[in-house]
Amino acid sequence: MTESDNELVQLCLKENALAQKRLYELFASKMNGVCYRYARNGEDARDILQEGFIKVFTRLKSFKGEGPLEAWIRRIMVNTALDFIKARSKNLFEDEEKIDVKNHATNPEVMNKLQSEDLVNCISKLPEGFKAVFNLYAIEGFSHKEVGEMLGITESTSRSQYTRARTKLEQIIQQRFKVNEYERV
Amino acid sequence: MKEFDKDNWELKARQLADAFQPKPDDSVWLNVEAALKPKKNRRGIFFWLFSFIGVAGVVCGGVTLYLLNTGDQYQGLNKQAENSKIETVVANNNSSEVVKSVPTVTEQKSEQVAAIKSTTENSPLNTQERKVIPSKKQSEIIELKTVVKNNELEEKPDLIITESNELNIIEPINPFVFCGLNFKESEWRTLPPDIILNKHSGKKDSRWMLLASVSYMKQHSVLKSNDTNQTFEKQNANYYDGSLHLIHQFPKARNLELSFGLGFYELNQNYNTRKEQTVSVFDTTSGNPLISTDKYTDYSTGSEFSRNAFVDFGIGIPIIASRNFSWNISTGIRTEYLIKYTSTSGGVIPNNFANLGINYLESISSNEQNRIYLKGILNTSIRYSLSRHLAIQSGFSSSYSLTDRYNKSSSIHQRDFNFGLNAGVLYRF
Repeated sequence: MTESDNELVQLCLKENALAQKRLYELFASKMNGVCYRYARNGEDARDILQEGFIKVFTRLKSFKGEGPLEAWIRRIMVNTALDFIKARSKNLFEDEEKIDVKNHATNPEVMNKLQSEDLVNCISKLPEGFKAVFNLYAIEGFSHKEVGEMLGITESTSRSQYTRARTKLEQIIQQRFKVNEYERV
Repeated sequence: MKEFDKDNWELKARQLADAFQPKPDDSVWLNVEAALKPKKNRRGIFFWLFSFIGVAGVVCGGVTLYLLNTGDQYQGLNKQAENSKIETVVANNNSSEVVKSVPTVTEQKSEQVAAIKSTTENSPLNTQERKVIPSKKQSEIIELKTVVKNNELEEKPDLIITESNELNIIEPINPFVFCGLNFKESEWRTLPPDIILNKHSGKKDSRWMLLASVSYMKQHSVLKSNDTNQTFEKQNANYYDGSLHLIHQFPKARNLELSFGLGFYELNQNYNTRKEQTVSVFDTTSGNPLISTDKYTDYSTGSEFSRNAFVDFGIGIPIIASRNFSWNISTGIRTEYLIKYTSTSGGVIPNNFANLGINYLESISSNEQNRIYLKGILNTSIRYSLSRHLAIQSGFSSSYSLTDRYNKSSSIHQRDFNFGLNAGVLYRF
């Protein structure tokens, strides 16, 4: 944690309103992006962000400053998003369609042309379970064992779900670019 | 945590995902800021509430004990008996007094003799005032009568002479120990004035009473969803009820009453819904994703209205403190039927979780299929008898209820705590 982060945290702990707003402004946009990846729509993302920041400020005293503040806030956002998803659907992997995992490969050109907003839009189209596993493994960088613990599934389930999630995402990306190509023509 | 391969598809995806940083809506910060404002100290409210109950109990108990110790219920009757003695018994011998009582045969004869003597010896005869100068023998007889009557009154306190020379016998009362206090037999379980009046008039005592009462209470509710395991708290509902109770006093135990009641209540609530959320606390350095969980609270606002009918059964103990006052403690169970329910959600914090909770409650209530409901009630009140038939009473009410509410797909468990005031009019048949 940087010195400025430390000062900001100390001021926030003293319930300094300006410091709290500063901390919010510092991380709000980045965390909003995180929330968008787990949410179904903008409204859900806003609710998760709001919940997450309330948790950040109420639990700030438990932050020991041993790691980056951003990483700590990010973890709270991710867990808030997972709580949100779990509260909405009991079984994350109940209704997921069968996917032929052999038939997937994203055209490298497509991946190079892909904009960040496009990717997030494509991720948001994934079923809840796929979305959670993909975000946790591919974006947040957790291992399958950790993903399994967080979602209450086994490591192998996490692994297989991730493969299917990635296949599905690549299909969505390909389909989206085909549509865009047609639109251009 | 795994390491990313630079050529990895995930690395590209991660870079793209991290680059996506849309500016959030301004309302998010406003809501966060509102949620961070200092919350009301609910523990303080409960402390004062229970302190108030304690003080009220001590005051009620103190007044009751004071009235018990003054022995008010016998004071009037003793004075009456003393007056009767004064009227009946002639004053002491040497002084010349007017005789108010009916003279005995011996006295009448003595008086006649004295009158004849005085007529012959001291004319003219004074017809305006008949002064009697008792002889030595007469004085001795009168003194003896006085002693005998006084002894009778001391030996039999329950024998009371009334103006109409009618003996009214109050039935014997046993000593009684209540809460470790040994009340003397003459100060405990005495009859209320209406029953004494009944005995005078020779009518049969009525043990049936009708109580019309109203109460106003504050309600605090805790609701737990059986499906999603979420907890909500609703605070400061306004509870109004009106009821009619038929009360029966036990013939052999006057300090025991049974009641059966019917009534309606309305619950009107502009509430803050408080939801407890579990927060995950992380150790960012070791990579351990979860080291502990803690709880924080979440608020939302809305309003709720319900109208209900209820039936209850109760048992009460009227501790009779004086001729007019009694201190009543009653307890009972109640079951209810929901007649009407309306609610609105939303407010200053349009919080998703809390709104989900309110919507959930609305869904349960509006499509409610079944309800298992039980309420325990505890009242304490002071009753004041205005006459043989009429009494008024007022005091404190509290209740605790458990409700399980169901519809086709969901259920919720609700606990309510109420505390407030009651007042009523009691008619004895």
